[in-house]
Amino acid sequence: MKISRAITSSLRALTRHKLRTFLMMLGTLIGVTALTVVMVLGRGTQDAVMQQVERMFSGSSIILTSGSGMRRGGPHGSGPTTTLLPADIEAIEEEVPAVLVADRLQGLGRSEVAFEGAAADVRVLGHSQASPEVWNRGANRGSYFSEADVATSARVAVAGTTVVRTLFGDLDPIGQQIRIGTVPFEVIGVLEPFGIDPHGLDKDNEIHVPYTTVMRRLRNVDYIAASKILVDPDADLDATAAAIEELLRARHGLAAGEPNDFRLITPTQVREMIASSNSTFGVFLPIVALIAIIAGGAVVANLMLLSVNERRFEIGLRKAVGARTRDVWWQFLLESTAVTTVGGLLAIGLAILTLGFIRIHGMADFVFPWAVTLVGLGVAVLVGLAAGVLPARRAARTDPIDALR
Amino acid sequence: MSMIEMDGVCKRYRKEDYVVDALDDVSLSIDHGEFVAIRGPSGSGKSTLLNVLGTLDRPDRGSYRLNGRDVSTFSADELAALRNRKIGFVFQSFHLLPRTTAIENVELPLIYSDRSDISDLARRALARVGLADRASHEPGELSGGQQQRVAIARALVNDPDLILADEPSGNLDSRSGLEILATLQDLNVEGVTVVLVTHDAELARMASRRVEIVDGRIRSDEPVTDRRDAVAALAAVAEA
Ligand SMILES: Nc1ncnc2c1ncn2[C@@H]1O[C@H](COP(=O)(O)OP(=O)(O)OP(=O)(O)O)[C@@H](O)[C@H]1O
Ligand SMILES: [Mg+2]
Repeated sequence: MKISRAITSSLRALTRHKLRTFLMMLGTLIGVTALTVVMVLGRGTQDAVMQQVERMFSGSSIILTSGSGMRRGGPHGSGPTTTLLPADIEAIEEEVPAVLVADRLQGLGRSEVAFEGAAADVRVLGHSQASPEVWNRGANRGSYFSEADVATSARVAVAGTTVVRTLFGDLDPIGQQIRIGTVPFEVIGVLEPFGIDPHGLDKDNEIHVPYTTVMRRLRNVDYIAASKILVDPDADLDATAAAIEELLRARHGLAAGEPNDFRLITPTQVREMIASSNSTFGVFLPIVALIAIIAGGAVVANLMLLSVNERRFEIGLRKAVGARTRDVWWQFLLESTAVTTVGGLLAIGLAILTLGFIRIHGMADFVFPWAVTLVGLGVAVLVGLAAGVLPARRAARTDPIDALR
Repeated sequence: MSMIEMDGVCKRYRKEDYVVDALDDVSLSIDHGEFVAIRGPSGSGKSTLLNVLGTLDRPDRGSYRLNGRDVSTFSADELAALRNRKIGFVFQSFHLLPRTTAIENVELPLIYSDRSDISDLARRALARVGLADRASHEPGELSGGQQQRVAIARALVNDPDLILADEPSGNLDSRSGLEILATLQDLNVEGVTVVLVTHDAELARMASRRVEIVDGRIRSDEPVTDRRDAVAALAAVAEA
């Protein structure tokens, strides 16, 4: 039988049973839409996370935090988190040749920040003047604080755009006086916008102040929480990390066998960490989508079986007038595949609408990968073929005499 | 060489508590161009015989040669191709596809052939049974006699050598039954071999040969000496 005739014959059979055809399409539609949306969001999220990791480790850098053990997935360090001192970072800058410059971090956490009548809940972070260079994020209005500000624990602040919007509205923020807790600060700059970080934090809802100010005026401590160390791109990162580790162990008087009271994180580690922590989009949702697809396939297969049972007479007749086994196979494989292919096309349309809605409402950002639509369509075709196998086999085995009696 | 040569064909059905010999040592040979009527009481094995003749069913024992070839050696697909090219079926209950136009019903055998001009051929076959103007009607919109004529168009559309009709007029009034018989006689005149199963003694007289079968065995097999012409019978009905 010619393929075009087989297709026409299958399409006619489908239009003869509109409700059943519609239900089969619905089965595919739901599964393939779910799969497409999940794939796009999953890839989009992964891309966004990786982008931010690249940004965080721009150039070549190492992050140093106080406390020991693993932050995630491993035993949490029980060691003190008060042992990392500004002097340690100075020593690293001076004594490890590959180190270019290092930022120091000490935070206040979420705090109430007030301006005249307005107040906002903002993360207050202490940095050094090296922060713009080290993090690749400085002030795009006004200026970031200077070495002198850090040296004098000046009460100056660089505010993120979200903070500026909530506190000042249309007012020019530069030169305004705000309060962090009870301590007055002068806003000297606005941070370059950054967006939402992998953990869902709004990185524009931050205020940067000198770390020394956090230490002395806001928290009254003599240690810092962390440092980001910029390393000569030509130098070996692992060797540099080892040199830093050795230096810090010596400075902290750690005997051989004693665990570190600090942690060194390299970009490779972070990428691995992100890859494994991305399990919501990476594993769980695809499984849900897969289940939806399998359920859709089962719906199609069952309705096709129903169709074969109802059409025993038709099948018997076709065989009596000359349909060969493969003609009957094709008839039913084509029917189920045609249904799921159309269902798949509709699903892609629906997925595009859904994703458009998600993007418009800012729930997630992603690029729309057109390849994913092809995957969705491919899956729909495969589901159709798979769902058609059992029905087609049953149809092909129909005994024409039985069916025509 | 005969077109059909059956020798010692047996077909037995087993139910839980009894055994039926639907065909019991049937030997029958039919030449090209014959018009054979098969008669017999209900359950005597007429449909079973027709199914074997049409290669829809295989005998348990005995041999069946069609055009000199032993069809027991054919695969299911070879038999399908054989039916498609050589045999046309007409059934008592028409067996048209519902919600499918007359022309599409007639095209059905053609889509499994290698003919390319299928809608032309189907149209011609419909014209042949006088239904050219009903091509786009569905079975539900046709009378019983018209439906059976569509079924005959489907049976002859592939130019078969052999037409097997199992009580084609069983569900029709006598006039429509005669029309069907007239068409079959017409085809027979053109050289198509026809095997017709019928209860009706009058219709059986329109064949050229009469075979009577009882309990799966051939009881009598003789030429029709007082053959009747269906067209003449139709005219007589019209006059009355
Ligand atoms: N699939 C089957 N299973 C069991 N018995 C069967 C089967 N097909 C036919 N028979 C039996 O074989 C015998 C012959 O059946 P067949 O249909 O050939 O009779 P028939 O002469 O065509 O009868 P009718 O005039 O009622 O159509 C009957 O007794 C019938 O019950
Ligand atoms: Mg019968």
